[in-house]
Amino acid sequence: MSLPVPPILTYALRRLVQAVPVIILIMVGTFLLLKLAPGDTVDALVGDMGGADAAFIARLRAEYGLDQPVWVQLWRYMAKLATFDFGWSFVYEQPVSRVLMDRLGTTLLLMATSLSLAFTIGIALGAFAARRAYSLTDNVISTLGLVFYATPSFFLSLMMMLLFSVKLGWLPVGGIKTIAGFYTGWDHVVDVALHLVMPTAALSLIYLSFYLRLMRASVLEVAELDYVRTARAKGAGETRLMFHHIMRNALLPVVTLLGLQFSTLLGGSVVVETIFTLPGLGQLAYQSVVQRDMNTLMGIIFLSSVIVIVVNFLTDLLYARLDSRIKLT
Amino acid sequence: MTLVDADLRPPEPSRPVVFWRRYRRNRAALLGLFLFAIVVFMALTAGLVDPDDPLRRAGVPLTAPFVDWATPLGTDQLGRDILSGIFYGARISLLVGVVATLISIAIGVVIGALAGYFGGWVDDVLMRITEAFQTIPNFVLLLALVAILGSKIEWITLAIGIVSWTAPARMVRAEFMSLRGREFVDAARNLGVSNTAIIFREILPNALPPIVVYASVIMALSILLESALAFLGLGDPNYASWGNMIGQGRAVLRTAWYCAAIPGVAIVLTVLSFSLLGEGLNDALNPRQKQR
Amino acid sequence: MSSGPVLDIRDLRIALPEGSDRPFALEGLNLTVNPGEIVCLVGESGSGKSLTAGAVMRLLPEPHVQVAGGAIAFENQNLLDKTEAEMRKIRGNRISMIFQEPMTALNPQKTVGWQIDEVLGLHMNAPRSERRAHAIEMLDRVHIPDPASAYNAYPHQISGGQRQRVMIAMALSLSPRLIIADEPTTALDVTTQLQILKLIRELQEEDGAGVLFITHDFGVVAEIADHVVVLRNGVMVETGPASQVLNDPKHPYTQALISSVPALTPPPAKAVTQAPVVLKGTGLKKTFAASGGFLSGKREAVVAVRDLTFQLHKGETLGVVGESGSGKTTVSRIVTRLLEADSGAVELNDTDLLACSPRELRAMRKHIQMVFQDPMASLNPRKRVVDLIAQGPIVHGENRETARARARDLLELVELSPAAADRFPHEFSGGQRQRIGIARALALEPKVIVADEPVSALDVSVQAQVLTLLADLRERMQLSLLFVTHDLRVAAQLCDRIIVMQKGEIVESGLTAEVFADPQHPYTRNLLSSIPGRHWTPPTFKTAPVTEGAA
Repeated sequence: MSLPVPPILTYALRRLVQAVPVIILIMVGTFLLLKLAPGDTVDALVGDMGGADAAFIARLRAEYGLDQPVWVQLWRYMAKLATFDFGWSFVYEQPVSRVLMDRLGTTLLLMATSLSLAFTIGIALGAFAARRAYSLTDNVISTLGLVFYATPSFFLSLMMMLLFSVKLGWLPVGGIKTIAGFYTGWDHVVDVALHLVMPTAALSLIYLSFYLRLMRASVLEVAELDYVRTARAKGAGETRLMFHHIMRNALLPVVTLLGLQFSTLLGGSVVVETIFTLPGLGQLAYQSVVQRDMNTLMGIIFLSSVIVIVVNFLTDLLYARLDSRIKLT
Repeated sequence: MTLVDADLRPPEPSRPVVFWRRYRRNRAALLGLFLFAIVVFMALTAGLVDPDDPLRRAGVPLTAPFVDWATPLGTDQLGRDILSGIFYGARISLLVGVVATLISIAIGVVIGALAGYFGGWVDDVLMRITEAFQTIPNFVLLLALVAILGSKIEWITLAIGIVSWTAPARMVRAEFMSLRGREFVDAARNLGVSNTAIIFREILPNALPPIVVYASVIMALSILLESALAFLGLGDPNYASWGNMIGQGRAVLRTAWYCAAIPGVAIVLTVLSFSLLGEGLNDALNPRQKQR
Repeated sequence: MSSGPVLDIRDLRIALPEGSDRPFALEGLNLTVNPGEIVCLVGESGSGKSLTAGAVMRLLPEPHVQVAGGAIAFENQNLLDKTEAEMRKIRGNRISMIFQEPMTALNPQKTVGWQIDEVLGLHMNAPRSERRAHAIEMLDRVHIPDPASAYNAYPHQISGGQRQRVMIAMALSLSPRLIIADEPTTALDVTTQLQILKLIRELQEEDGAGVLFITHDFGVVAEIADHVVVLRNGVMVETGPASQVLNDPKHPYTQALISSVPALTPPPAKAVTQAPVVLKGTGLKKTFAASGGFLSGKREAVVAVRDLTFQLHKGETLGVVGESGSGKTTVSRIVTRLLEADSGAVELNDTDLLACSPRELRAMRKHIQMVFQDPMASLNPRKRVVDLIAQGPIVHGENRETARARARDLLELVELSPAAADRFPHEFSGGQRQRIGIARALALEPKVIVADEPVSALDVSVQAQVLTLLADLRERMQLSLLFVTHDLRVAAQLCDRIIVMQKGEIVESGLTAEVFADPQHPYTRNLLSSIPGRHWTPPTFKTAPVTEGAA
């Protein structure tokens, strides 16, 4: 059964199939959380209406299927989730999916900038520090890495605000764009970029130092391997060793963690978006907790899990591209 | 005509001595130990330094540090003593950190050990569950759990434990997978040792060093998670917490930045101490790694 | 081209970092390699032989380990005076190196062609197409089938022996004056080993290069060396032409080493076949399935053992001999049920071990014990020696104190000091650890002991002692041994009967003496004729024992 399908496609397909049980588990998990939460949809609805009599409440329960056995409810819930129907938000008075979609762009933009910055600068600095292991340069880089790793993003955000917005007045305190600016074209891009500088820095510095430390350790480890010694015995210089022999192998564990760490990064956006009042999913998650909007919160959990799965899928493909030993078929 | 090999080498010093010698070589780790000792000292003596409730008014609101010796590090906008808050905050941070770490390591060890030792479908099922937990952004899950369970410190600690077990589980699984193929495990099986005894008496002691090192990382992350919750105002309002102090300090950032900066520095140093401690433990427990 | 020696090492001293077990890894080494000559540097582990190679290549892990004195003249120029840039021009070009582990010595992420091209690109001023042609020609010279497709293959796609050929092609592609080969055949099977040795010899004769060949194996020395230098703990103890050192060594250490090499003369046949059968395997089969199935990608099923039947008599030693992939290790694991067989029966004590329930199996295990290959990995590093040995009896219901007391007696039996009882495994040398492993197996007084390559991780002198101990215990305790080994010399010394395995099947079996004298199957013949140094009979000596220091 040799179909003329490129191996990378079958590999990708297999990866996608593997994600199915994970998604189902997450669906079940959010359902359980909803059930555990005090009050159900009808309670929220009735609260929204300002009260109702018992008979009406019972009828509403039947209408929403809440009188059905748990299994039936779970099945209906999963069927709805699969079509990205997260129910109704009683806070925003519109479907949760619409609320989420309004916020998705901001978060994705923040994620993309933070992650790419953290990753590229992190591995570059890590490789650089490893090449000069135990020198002064290495010590400075490693120490900074340790300190940034220990700094909570909210504290870093406040200190940056204090310096760049309050004292120096260079950057805006919050929001995604200047409210009364009505910029268009390039001015709009520049305006948004300026608003994103501090949130991106706050979110990426921790992960930057994380990748830095990982890359440094990984490079030091790979540099000890036999085939690097072989390349040395062939007369290769240090630069050549680094770029042709060490880097690619040293990147493999870092790429693995890139996928694993992404969900943590997404979680970190809650704090940063809240501080800088960026209208993204993270800020929405915080507001939903404060306003007890469980439908929206579960919607965020599900949507962000899907994003994480997609990113993991992409890093898997990247890994397969980097590691020639992976059998794609 | 033969080369006799039966003579023993001179005995080696005992394990704790070797451990300390190796740990001592890493100067940064010694600094970490020192910082950690300070935090523990603050947590233990919080009641002695200021027997009063740290949430009570202690002086004129917004006194700057080093002005009034009754409140050496100044006061916040409600007149609460910042030094006292730092001491009591250390207590909460450590308590949450230690208990949450124990919870997450316990879950992680059980899941990781079962998955790694038995493999097959047990591994498949457990790893899918682990992946599901790992896929949900941990802070969002933490928010959801706190929203459901409430903001009591016990629940917060439990919730932090629940969102942080996946990484140790994966690590323990990897350790078990590599150790279960080692010959000493075969040797034990060959003697007729039961599965339970192999998992807990043969493999686990050998998997412990990396777990201990990793515990220091989880500890740091737990403290960061608790402080982030408290910063957002979702912590337990009945206890002084560094994160909460920073959150409150945000309102007076323009005029009295020290209200946020002092507890912030406390968090940075505490988390730093755990990172350094972890590196020292790693050097001391994994002697195969290169020394400087 | 200059006449005179290619390499001339004078009074070389290499310093070790502070806190090592000795201050110098190498003290006062003198060594000369002439063009067209193969000089073997022989020594056991820790003798400093590999560091010599590092010093010549100027690739020592400085500053921890560095040259502390002496001179290394390559074609009359002292390499120690060269700058790093000058050395880079020499490495891979005029001096090249072949390493021990073909599995790890090639970059897994680059094709074979890329890696050969790298050395050409670094030292040869030629266009890409010309370099490619030269690389493919080199692959052809090392007898790799289909060089053009090997050029585009990744290292994991070719076998271990082929990888070592690629390494040789790479090392010889620029016709270096000096080739340093650091245990190049140690990781290879015996038949592959002989081919690689022949290849090195052949290519070196064509180019007239000098070879510094580092090895621990006197069989290999006998196969290839023109001149021999023997190292012991960093000190050169003997040097001379190969024939003289091999057949008439002067230094007691060399004599002891050479007499440790097992002779290829099997023991006289014992009349064991009349003794009762203690262990009987029938129709054993094991296939390693395509694991994971649909989700984790398909791997081809591998038949490790197909339809294996054997009998072990009381007091007999049955050798299971074969190369890697022959299934011999799988046999040892099926018989002890560390691995579940697909079908067949293992009868021990008239009970089928493979049909036992988990509870019955645990009880049965005391009758069949195992000695493992790796003395480092087979002892739990967190247990004291006395507990390691007493563990089996305790599990099987023995009283703790009795078991411990018995463990101390067993230590004496395997010739270890009673002081060993309260120590941890890492405080022992490899041979001592293997003695502990033997004591552990004996503690349960089993009917059968399965030994899986018990001496292959040990230095030759230690190996001889452990083998002597095993032979001695076997006589005294009437042990029945199933002895798995890849080393025909070891098999010849210890086994009464042998089974020769290839690709999961028995190709030949019989009394060791008969199989060695008159092998029937072509594979057995090939195996026997590949034993390095088979034409050389190690001389025997009458000298006082040399005591190996605390090292």
